[in-house]
Amino acid sequence: MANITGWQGSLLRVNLTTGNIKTEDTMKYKDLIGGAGIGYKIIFDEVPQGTKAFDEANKVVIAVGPLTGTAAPCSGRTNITSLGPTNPYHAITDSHMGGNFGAWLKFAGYDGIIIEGASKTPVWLKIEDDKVSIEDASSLWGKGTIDTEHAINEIMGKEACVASIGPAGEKQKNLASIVNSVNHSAGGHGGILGAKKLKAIGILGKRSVHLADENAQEWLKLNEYMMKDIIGANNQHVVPSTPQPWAEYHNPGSRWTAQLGLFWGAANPPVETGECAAGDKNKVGLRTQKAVFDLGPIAEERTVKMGGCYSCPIRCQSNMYMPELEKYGLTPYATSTCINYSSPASAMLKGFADGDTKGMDAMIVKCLGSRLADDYGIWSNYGQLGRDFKFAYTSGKLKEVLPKEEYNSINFDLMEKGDPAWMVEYYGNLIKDGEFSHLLDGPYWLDQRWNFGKEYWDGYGYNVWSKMAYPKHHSNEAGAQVGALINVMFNRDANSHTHMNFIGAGLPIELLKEIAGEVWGSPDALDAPKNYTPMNEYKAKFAKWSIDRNFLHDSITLCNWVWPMTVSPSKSRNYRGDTALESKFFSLATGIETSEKDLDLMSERIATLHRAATIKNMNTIDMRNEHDTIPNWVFDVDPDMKPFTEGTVKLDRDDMQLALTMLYKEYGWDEKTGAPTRAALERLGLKDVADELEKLNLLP
Amino acid sequence: MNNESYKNDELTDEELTKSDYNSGEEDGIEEVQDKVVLLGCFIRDKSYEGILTNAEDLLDEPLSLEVDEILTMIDDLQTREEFSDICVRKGKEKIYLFSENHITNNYAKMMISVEERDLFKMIAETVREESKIYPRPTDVRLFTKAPFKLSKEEFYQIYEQLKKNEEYNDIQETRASNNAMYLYSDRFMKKVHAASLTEWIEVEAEQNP
Repeated sequence: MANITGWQGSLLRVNLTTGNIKTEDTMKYKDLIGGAGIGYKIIFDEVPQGTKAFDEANKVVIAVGPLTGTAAPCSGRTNITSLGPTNPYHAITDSHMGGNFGAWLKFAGYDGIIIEGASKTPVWLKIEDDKVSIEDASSLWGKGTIDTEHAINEIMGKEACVASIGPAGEKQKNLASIVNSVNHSAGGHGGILGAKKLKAIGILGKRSVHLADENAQEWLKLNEYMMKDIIGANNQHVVPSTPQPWAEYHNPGSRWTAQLGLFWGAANPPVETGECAAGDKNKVGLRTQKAVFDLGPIAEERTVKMGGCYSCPIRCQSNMYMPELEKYGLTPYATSTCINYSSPASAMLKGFADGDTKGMDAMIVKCLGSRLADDYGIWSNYGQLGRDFKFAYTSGKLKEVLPKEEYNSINFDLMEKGDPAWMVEYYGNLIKDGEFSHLLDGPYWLDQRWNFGKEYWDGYGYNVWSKMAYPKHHSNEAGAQVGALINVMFNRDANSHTHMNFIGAGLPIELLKEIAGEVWGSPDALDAPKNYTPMNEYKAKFAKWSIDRNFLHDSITLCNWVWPMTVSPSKSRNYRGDTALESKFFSLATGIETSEKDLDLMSERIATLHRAATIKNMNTIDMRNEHDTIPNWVFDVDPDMKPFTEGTVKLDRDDMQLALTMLYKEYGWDEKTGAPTRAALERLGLKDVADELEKLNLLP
Repeated sequence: MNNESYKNDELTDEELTKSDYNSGEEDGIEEVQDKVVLLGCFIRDKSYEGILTNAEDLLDEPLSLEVDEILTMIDDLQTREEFSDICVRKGKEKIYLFSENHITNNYAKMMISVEERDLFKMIAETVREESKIYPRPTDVRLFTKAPFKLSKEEFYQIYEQLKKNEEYNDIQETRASNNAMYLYSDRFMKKVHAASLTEWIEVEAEQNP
């Protein structure tokens, strides 16, 4: 293994049934890069068809890629692959967490952990370089993720990184997360660890991650180039949110919120973000004052600092001083970002007591709710949890399905009055064993149990996407058919930000269209917001590229909330980014000279493997009709407007069938069913996958 | 899009700073006495601080130019290749100078409209530009931020007057469901489009983080 660089070369396999722990060679998976690529292959090869998510036969693959631990910018993500309990077919899904876990895994000498079997009693996994042991967790069972982390840090030392599940995971709730470093959560697989009685994993490593570029001179140059010329702010937004002297353009929706007079106000002394002009590499970390973006102007004075993941210059996670939380028995701090802040607020169906959606009550709700959700290990399902509660409550269904005694025991008055204490009541009841807790089943299973009906599935605003019953995530409102195609390709909400980052970069439409022309072959790949045109082949290329880059980032491992670098903030580059950067870092880390085209092919291989695994899980090749379905609300929104007219995101049914055909064609899949053909699989070096599908009669 | 520029020998930050602000120094004391060089450096320094140079500022210290030499010197400055970053814009009565190394043309345009107190034009041109190029309706809170810095009351007073002026009758108003007010130019954007984008920016985007 002496010549392996980038990767560590070892995967850890832990069997919780037998207690057997062994290592195996990572390099047999090198053509699948790492992370999700490794996860898909192991689940495809080793988990029998028909297995359910919480079955002992299911496996969990926690893996990272050759860039994790190298200090490549924004390489702090960890990928978790397993069957998805929220999916109607328990089809394969990923969950992803930031923080430090992935880098620590590499430092301990591993590219991934394969967890199989199930323990009879609660256990946790202790990893200290080569010393790996399964430890008794009976004293941890029942604890929240924060106390669990503290308890394991007491044992391993504070330098250890701990990922754990909370009560939601222990109780095998579908909407359960795995949380590391207090607040970096991966949603959807916590219940599987609960079924396996694996409470936590603690990691401490002392190894290095080696680069093929031994003296790192080229690496440092590349890093400098990226930091100076290419990287923007969170979501690769490349213009500031306000007009500034150095900036040609601005966009009030930009996460590049830094400006004169804006502070981390609770820092001691307060830190002014100032203007962080493009090209100033030393201020990249100040560009995103995300607390203000997520919580409103009131958050400025409570911001201690912006934090984030290992090796990420984009600090998107706000660390807040919130003494108001002490009233609820918590420490006076909160740390979170994005949906984890907004999801709790979505359960405040009647707003906030002070009447202000950006006021103090709203901030308390968001901070309190995110703390409780992380501690209980509850996943919001990209905010769907709040929407499901809203439907259940406002339709009267909740009153109908909950036992009278249980319904009366829940203090809904708190929510009616907009009192932040509703968060304690809401999350507390979600992890109890009552009927209310079935909100954590997720849309498909909840509908099976409570019979939500057509109003829920077809209702614009409830956001349920397709028969797969996950929430939309940057769908038709994000690039028309491009966003819709991306949303049909996954088995949970699409965590693909490639297209959204580009669309939301903040540049004028003509400039974006020029760049779209250079990357995907024609400016017609991109429509102006809410001014859509019919489908064309360039939109299919844009969609495929976005999907493939997402799979690449989950495998290599980079943060798809920032990558790829399709645009840049650099006026002298006319805002062009550098889409070959992933391949440049990959080549320098691994020593395997890999062009952008080569890496794109590897990404396509991973995307196609995900498709093959889905087909195996669903036991059908008819992806077009059984998987790639699009909800009615996409076509029926704005009833008085026609598709492809200004002012609507409405799409057309026939046009979307054409869009599917065009996307299948781009992948070389069967255009009738949307299933990969043997030729497509063999072109990508997946002959063994084709053989397995043929055995199961699942090749078109 | 592959770019190999990171492999080139680029200037370090230190060298860039030197190049930007002290371009006359390397040529010795004679160059320092060149008033045109001093003028160029003065404009750059002010631009670095985010300030436009008004030609009238050149009468004062440290340059203390004579009235009749100002225009000649500006013309001379524009012929110097090393000062190709210096831009000259004529306002209604004044001449403005800035270095585009530090202030973009777009921002300078906004600053000049503020400086000239042509507030109707300032609002209308900003709204038209945003409706045309992004395209997006303009959140009226924009005018309370730099470089405009109007108070809320000032904005609404000006806006009420602007609405009565035929020259600006393309500027229209739209509101999101939370009642936030946005403006758009119907020369570049239809009402239905503006209304829909306003709702997206103000309400829906936050629901789709």
